[in-house]
Amino acid sequence: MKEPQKGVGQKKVGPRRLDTGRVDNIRRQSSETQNHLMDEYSAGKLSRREFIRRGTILGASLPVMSFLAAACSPEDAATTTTPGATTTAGPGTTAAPSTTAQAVESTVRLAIPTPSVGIDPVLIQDEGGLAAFGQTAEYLVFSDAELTPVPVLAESWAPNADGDVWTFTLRSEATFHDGSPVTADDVVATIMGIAGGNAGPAFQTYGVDPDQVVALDERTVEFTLSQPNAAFPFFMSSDNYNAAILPASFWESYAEGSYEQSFIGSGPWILESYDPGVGAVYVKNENYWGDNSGQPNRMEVTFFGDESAPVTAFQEGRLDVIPHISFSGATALLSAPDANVTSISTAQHRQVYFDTLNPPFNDKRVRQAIALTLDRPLLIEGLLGGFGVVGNDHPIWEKFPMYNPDTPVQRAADLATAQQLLEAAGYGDGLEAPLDVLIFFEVEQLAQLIQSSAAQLNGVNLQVGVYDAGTYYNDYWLAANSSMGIVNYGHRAVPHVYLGAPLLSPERTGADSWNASHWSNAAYDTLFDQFTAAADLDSQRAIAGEMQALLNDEVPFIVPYYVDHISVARNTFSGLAVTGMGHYNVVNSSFSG
Amino acid sequence: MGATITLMWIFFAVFGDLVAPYNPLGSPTDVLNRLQPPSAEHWFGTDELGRDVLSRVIVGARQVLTVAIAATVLGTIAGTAIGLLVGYLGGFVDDVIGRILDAFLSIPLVITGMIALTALGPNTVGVIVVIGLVFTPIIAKTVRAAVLSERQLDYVTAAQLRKENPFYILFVEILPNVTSVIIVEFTVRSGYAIFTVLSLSFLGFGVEPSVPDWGSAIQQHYGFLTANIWWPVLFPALAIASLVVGVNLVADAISQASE
Amino acid sequence: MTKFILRRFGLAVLTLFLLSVLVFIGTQLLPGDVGRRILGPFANQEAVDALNARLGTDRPVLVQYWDWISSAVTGDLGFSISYSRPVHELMGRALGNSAKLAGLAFVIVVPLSLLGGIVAALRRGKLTDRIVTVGGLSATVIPEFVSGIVLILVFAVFLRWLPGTATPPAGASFFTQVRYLILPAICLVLVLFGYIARITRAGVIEALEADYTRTAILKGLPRSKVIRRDVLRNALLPTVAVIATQVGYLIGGLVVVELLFSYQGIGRLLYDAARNADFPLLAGGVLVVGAIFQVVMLLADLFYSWLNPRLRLGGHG
Repeated sequence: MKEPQKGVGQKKVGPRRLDTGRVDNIRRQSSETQNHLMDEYSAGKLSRREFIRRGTILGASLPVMSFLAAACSPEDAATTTTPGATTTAGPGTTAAPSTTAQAVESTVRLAIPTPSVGIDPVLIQDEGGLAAFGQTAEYLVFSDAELTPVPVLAESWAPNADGDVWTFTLRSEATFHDGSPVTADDVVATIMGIAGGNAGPAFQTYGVDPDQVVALDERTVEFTLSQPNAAFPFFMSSDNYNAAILPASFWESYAEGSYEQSFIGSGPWILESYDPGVGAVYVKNENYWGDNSGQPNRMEVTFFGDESAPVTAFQEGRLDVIPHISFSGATALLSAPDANVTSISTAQHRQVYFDTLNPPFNDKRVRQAIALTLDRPLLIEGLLGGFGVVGNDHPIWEKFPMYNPDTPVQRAADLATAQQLLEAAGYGDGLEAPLDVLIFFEVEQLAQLIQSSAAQLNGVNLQVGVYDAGTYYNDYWLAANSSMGIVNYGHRAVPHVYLGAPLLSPERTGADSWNASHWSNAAYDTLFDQFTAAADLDSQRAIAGEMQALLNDEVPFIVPYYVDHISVARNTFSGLAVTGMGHYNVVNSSFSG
Repeated sequence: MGATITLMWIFFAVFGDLVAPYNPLGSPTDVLNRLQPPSAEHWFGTDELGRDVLSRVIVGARQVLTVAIAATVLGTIAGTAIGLLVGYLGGFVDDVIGRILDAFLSIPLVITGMIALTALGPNTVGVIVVIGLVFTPIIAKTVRAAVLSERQLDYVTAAQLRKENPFYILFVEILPNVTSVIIVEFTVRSGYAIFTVLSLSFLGFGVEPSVPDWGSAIQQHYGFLTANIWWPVLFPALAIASLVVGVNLVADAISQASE
Repeated sequence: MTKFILRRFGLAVLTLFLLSVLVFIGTQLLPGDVGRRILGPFANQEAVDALNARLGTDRPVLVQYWDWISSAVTGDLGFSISYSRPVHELMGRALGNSAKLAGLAFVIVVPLSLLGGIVAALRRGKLTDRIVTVGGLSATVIPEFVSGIVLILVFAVFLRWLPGTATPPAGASFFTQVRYLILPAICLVLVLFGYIARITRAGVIEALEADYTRTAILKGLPRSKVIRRDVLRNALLPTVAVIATQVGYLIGGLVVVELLFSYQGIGRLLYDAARNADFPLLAGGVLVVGAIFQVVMLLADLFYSWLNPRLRLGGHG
């Protein structure tokens, strides 16, 4: 299914029944799953965006999907503009501005959070680290703000009929900074190299065994999974941030800290200088394999520990872009005349978990009661300034394509019912429990609001304790006696990570369980297996509906809201692309005036 | 003058809840009223969760004074005990303990506090114990010096000649004579305890977040200075300044009076 | 004299050794293990165990201590977890930055407090004296972050004369760097001023009332000359001793000030290390800071005894 690239930019397309011959051709060459997808779309069961997204996951190229989306659209499809993802090689750009060649030298100055450990493919574990890493190194696939997988180093990919063997074809023109080509061996070496580190859980979630990854030839890599997984391409995407492709030669001599000696990669930026804990300077890769004609010549990145530093720098004119800032941190800039504040909705959410094994929260009525004291729109307005989306106590974000909008009913504040539930459970006079939370953006304030919300019930007294990340994850998160807590789950393009280790029965996941609620539910485990194996969207959505309802009823944890990803850039600057995970991209950016 | 200020804060510490115009813990819906500048309804404005700053400043005195005084009492008791023993026994014990105390004092108090509190977790008792222990060496040193000079005096020799029990000599003979030194140390250290408690809670090693506390309030809100939101920071800062100055003026007066 | 130096030096070494033990025990108290800290909370347990085995963190504590201290003595303080850089490299840069800040503070505070103390002593009991003494005392006890915030509010937010952070842009001129450092330096000055001024004042008063001063005046020497020659020299003695002891408070103050002003000095480094449970950096950092403190005290003691002829010519050793 290869077609030459069509034009760039936003096009209006009307419903067209022309080119049926071409459509038939494509159908004949497509798999059963892909045909099924086209049927669903024609019948109006899928939005255009979802259709394109699902198609690209299954390995179709974007221009072909765009064509099909136009050609096969249901009768009364409204004309739409292609929602982003229209440029060629630059991954994940949403609003692409005019890309006239830069005659003038331009420098972009950014600030990102300080990477908490060094910049190392095996060890990076936070936003700062992955944001820095993703500048010089690239992934096979890029998971953009619309959750669409965009081909980068991989030109195309396809599953077998059962969905448990995936084959990726690499671009022939892709090269590393030193000119050597990106080959299948490099991909295999990268997989082997990151398997033992932080990416371990991803390997488990997607059923990848490093020994089952094979280079078939120079440009083809084959992955054999332990079970079918329709979302597999995201394993090799920027979603799995450790999986940027680095040369096999690098992996041969890998040791902690060795990446910081070379910053080798295939990306559009080359590192000029790096000062750990302070910042980095990059220059444009003139020999980039893709089209980066619109790229600024220089990028100066500063690391920050607390957000007031970049805000001050921005106010003093020393900074142009802050790709990610919290609502609280952005206070000074929200009304600043020269700052442009934008946001994208993400799947990032705070998980307020209960210990379901011990009193008082071993009775689900108590958990439901606490959940019913929360006025979620109020929390979003007060804590996030409106930059958020209401959650319904399960981690399936509304923009995931398999999200089931029909069930369950959105939970809202209802103190009367909450009080009744408490009384029925025997806690009519109240209860006391510690609520131990992580210091992370507004989590501390969320905890206090949960405390005061719950205090509206008779005698309910939650004692809030705050701890820094090291202490929290070590002593509280999965501890046996941790009564209530709050952790954060970062953005992902598919919910498998949220649904697996945090919710599966601890007996099943063992030492790698992230199940802070110690919640064990056989019905859920079964649903999860069905979910990951499901091949088409309809059945996945049906299963998701059951999971959503089950989780909402059992409330092993509260999901009060999903947090938007806020960015700030100078008014004169355009072309910032970000993802909910923390990646940023300024390859197609410019200053006006 | 120092006494007036100090007494005012002690009054607020005890009766703050009655005097404060609003509930310092606020209610959930307050958050919609966050970060409002000073006005007729809220003389000191509101903080990031919409709570009344004036009320939290008034009630905040309780947290600081309770912890600081408790810590100083602990440190004074422990320091006096060690100082008495070491000063009286002298010799090898004196040298060894003296060196250990010196080693302790080489580490900035703030750092010791941070490490200990990270290990213990942020709870009030932990802070009291840590600060008390951190002050013990200093108080011990002063008491030791005082004991050393008392030791030379006749009444001690007389007691030793009478074959009195050493503990008797220490606590019945010597202790009353060093009491004035201990009292001065106590008042001076209270000032430093307040200083240290606040510094630690500013650094994030405070206590439960919703409890009104001046140091935590500043820590939570100083990031907003860039947005010209000064009131949640300035008023606790002024409260701190007035309390510490007041206490130290009192301590100074006492120490001068005892000379 | 030599005996004195040797004894003093020996004491310093002993204290340093005790300090290293305390520091090591302290870091062992921090929650978490090194492997988990490096790989993060979401990594597989297997991977964490493998890393721990590789780093040798499962060996007996005494073995680990000996390993650490023996390399520390040769200058190898280990590898920082948060920065993936050798500790001594990070320390070097941070110490340099803090030295600039502390240096600026000292350059301001020493002459200022000496002057203040002398003036207060000469005008003893009068208004000037009260202002210096009470003002100095008040300034000392106000926590640095409080004075810092008031300074930021006044000079950076309201008046906009000075920047609210201490880190200048890269390659800034000397004057620009001073401009950025002046507010945090003033914070430190406020803490140090009161105590030094007071000691100076006491020293000057004592010297003024001393016999040799009265003798000199009776002999007809002009008062100002007497002050300059005898009084000052005798007053400086205790002041020197005091300045050295203030280094300890200074370092503690640096943590708060550097945090408030977002400055990458040693205080900030230690704070981040404690918060991030970066064991090697914390242990190495506190050890170095403690060592510096001991060295400064040692030098101060030596200087003091050299200045004080009574000590030098025998008597106490």
